[in-house]
Amino acid sequence: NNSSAFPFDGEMKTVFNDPVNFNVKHPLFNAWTLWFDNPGKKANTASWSQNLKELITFDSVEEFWGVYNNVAKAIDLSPGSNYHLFKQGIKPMWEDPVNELGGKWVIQFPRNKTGEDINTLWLYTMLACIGEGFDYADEVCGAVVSVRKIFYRISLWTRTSNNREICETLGRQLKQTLGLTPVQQLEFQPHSDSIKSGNHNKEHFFV
Amino acid sequence: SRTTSAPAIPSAPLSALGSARMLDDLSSIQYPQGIKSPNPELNSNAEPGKFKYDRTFLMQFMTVCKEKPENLPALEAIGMEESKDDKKR
Repeated sequence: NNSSAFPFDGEMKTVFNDPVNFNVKHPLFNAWTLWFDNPGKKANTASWSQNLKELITFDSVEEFWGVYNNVAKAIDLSPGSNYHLFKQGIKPMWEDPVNELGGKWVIQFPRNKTGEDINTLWLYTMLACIGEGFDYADEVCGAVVSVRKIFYRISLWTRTSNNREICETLGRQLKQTLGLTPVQQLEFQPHSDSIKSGNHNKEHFFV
Repeated sequence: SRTTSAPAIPSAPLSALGSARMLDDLSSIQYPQGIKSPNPELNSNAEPGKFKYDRTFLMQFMTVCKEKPENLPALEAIGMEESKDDKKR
């Protein structure tokens, strides 16, 4: 029993027992970093990475909610902005070695039909990530919410882009997490497609 | 009751968020009545401190954990406004 390793004698108090003086918190399987970018007026690629800001890294459930409750909700971000929630050490760009061979499941939600629901959709995506709710959770790199003038977009980034079983399982579970109907078809986008234009002879996955 | 060794420094209270220790054994915790434990199936073979959590469990923290982490930067400084919800309060 590892609980004897705690260096204090008193009882363990979670945030539910004592919201002010709790003395234990719930560790996450991985530490996660929340990034934010708002390209604003400058739209070229060089300035994008300059605009990308690392907001905070956290590794407990309690800290996640402290962050969530103190940053802007997705619906309040200005068009052009993105939140990126990635495992600590993985940059939210395809140039990162962990992402290089990967890809993403992408879902767009029209802004006028989605409204405040985007907050819940993004929250559920983040909870599935930090709670490690996906089968093949190790294959998840991170997730992105993008706010644009006429749509919102949620992406789930994966390490692999050629393992059908892994990619399709993650895609199906993302659909489930977001409460999408089975008829809404999603296409997987390997990052290599975004990098090179022209011929793509890769096999494409759908769920 | 808190440990007795820490001197009282009224000007700089250490936040519970910063000072609380990581649980290494979920089964050691008794949640108050009405709070659901994490789905035990997710952690049947878990190493100490390496836990998975279902959404139902995680959502219970939403209205409880409001404290701003100390290392969260000032949002205006990075061109982001504070949550509008908080401004209304």
